[in-house]
Amino acid sequence: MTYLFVKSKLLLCHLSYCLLLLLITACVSSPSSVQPLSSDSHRYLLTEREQKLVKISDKAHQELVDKGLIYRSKDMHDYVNRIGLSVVPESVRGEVEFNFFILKKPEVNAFAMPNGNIYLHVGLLAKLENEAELGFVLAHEVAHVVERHSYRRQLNRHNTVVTAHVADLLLFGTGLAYLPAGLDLASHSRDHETRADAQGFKYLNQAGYDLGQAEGVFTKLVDVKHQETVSSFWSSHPNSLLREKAARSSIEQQVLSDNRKVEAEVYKAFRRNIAELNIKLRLSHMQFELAEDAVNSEISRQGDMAQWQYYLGETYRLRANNPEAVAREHSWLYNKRLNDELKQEFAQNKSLYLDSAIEHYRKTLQMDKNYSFAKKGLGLVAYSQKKYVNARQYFDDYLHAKERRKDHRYIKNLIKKIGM
Amino acid sequence: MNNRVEIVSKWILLACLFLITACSNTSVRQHQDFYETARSIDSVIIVPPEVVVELVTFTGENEQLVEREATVKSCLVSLAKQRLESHGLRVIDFDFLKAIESDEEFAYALTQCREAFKAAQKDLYSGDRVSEDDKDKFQASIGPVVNAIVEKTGAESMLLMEYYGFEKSGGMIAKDVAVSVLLALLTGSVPVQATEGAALQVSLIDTVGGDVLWTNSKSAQEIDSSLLNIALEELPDVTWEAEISLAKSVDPSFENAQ
Repeated sequence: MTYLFVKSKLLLCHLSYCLLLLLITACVSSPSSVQPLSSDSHRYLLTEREQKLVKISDKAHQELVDKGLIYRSKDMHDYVNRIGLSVVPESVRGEVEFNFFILKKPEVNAFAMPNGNIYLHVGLLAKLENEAELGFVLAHEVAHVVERHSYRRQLNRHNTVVTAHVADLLLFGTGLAYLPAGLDLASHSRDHETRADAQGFKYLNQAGYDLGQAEGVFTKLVDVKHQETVSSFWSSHPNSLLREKAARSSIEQQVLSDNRKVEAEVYKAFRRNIAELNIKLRLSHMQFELAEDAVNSEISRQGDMAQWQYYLGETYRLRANNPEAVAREHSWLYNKRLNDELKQEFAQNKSLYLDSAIEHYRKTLQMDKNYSFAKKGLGLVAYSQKKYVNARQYFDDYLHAKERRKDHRYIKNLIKKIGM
Repeated sequence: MNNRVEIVSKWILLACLFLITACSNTSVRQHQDFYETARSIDSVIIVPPEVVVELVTFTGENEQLVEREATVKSCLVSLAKQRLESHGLRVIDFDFLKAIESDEEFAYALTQCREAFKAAQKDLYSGDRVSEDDKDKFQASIGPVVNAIVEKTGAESMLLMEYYGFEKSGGMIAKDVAVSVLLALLTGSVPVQATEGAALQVSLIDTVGGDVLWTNSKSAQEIDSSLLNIALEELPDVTWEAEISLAKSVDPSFENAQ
């Protein structure tokens, strides 16, 4: 009887495995058959799956618009669009409509959607130094669209996920099969990045930019404090040294155009507006250390100014008020375990942070006595320190310096709480 | 012998009761000044909820179920309106869609509020579980960014909602069944996996001072907007400014009585 029971169990197992193998063969389709848009046999948008991808991209774009995340300065948008269109290869013009957008996001990132929309984060633009570097980033993203990497990635994912599900069944639903599947997807992604780099240099050369200068982008990659702050453009790529080596070999293969542009001054003017926005975004995302780094970088690029001292003050004041967020950022940047000890360590620094904030706000006012935001900062520090007479004075000064401040209700509410 | 079994089972029952009382945790997080701030709040605005409902497929190409999302969204808004009004708050009608379309800065301010709340949420739900007794000891704030809401809408508080729901496709359910059958063959027990599920986070925020006054999260094994009712049941019944104003208009001596 027991024998029969075991036998039937084995038989059922065999049947299940055969069914699974059938499932694998039925579901797998090939991403290698997908041709780049520039080839004669590319057959763009013929499959339902690719059309669906474009529809999803359109919807995602609308969401970004609705969330107010697209930076709508006409001049800046026109500038990025002009450089972007200049690196689009002739062979695909008319095939896809390319549009370039700046996103109010602090991460060092850029990404492309299969509908031809390309997005650059403020955090990435703040890292670049000249138009040639910007051109390379844009050309890299254009290459993703031309090579139809989203579509290929989707086909890869489809195959990998199906195989992983089946393998998971063979492992009795333990979930162990999903780890190699993740690694497999990452390796496909790295291949796409390498290819986009090589194509990007080609497009950039055709647009007449200095490839040697564009190579500087990779140095900035090393500068990024935490590789996980970034995704598409950086993180899934082979390490930066390998990337630089591959870039050099790509450049050597190009027949360099005569008039090689760098346009550092034009970019400098464009970047000026981006720099402050980048710092504000980092602060609103509670990335205090990264905000401080960004301020210091601006001081070394543009020289010390009242606004930079004010933002340094802000990084310290906000640290004092958000010790848990400071600990979270620290653990994320330095791969440390986020525990009570770490949180406690930063909570203990509160008075030190407040003192540093006061120092920077005072320095701001020494540089520009009309910089009223520093008075608000001093008021908020005094409020934290329960020095309510001082706080009230600073808040009044801040509110009187300009009518209808955006945050006037918040400040008036604090004055009300002080109750004087 | 029977007596001994009875005594042992009584002890086990007592121990279980003790454990249940000791571990009576809550998903509610309430600001320590909740009652005080409530007295200055007259109105509330219901921010369009962020709703994602997706079909989890066997191929990994999950699909957003747009129609289901729209249904959940509209149910959440009408349920919230009904519940907040029953609490005595004045719910302000405001055309967010029109405002977002015409005012990019307002759209971004709204996004910043949501992002700031998500950041505050990390502090509110970090670390140890919170007992019923400790739920009202929080001081989370999303800062002055909320002032854009009161400036535009005139509401002194806002209700933020985030909803995530999933439904498994036929292929995924078949895979789950196959795993269950294999496990049953090996172990003799049949694990049952959910075919759909949902989670909701609802928060009431003071749009003047930025304080997260009250927040709650709930989850269920079905996609249903009634999760909101369950969550809002735990919103304390306080006297809002709206109720004080109303009472004063009916009976001028109300303030003195307070």
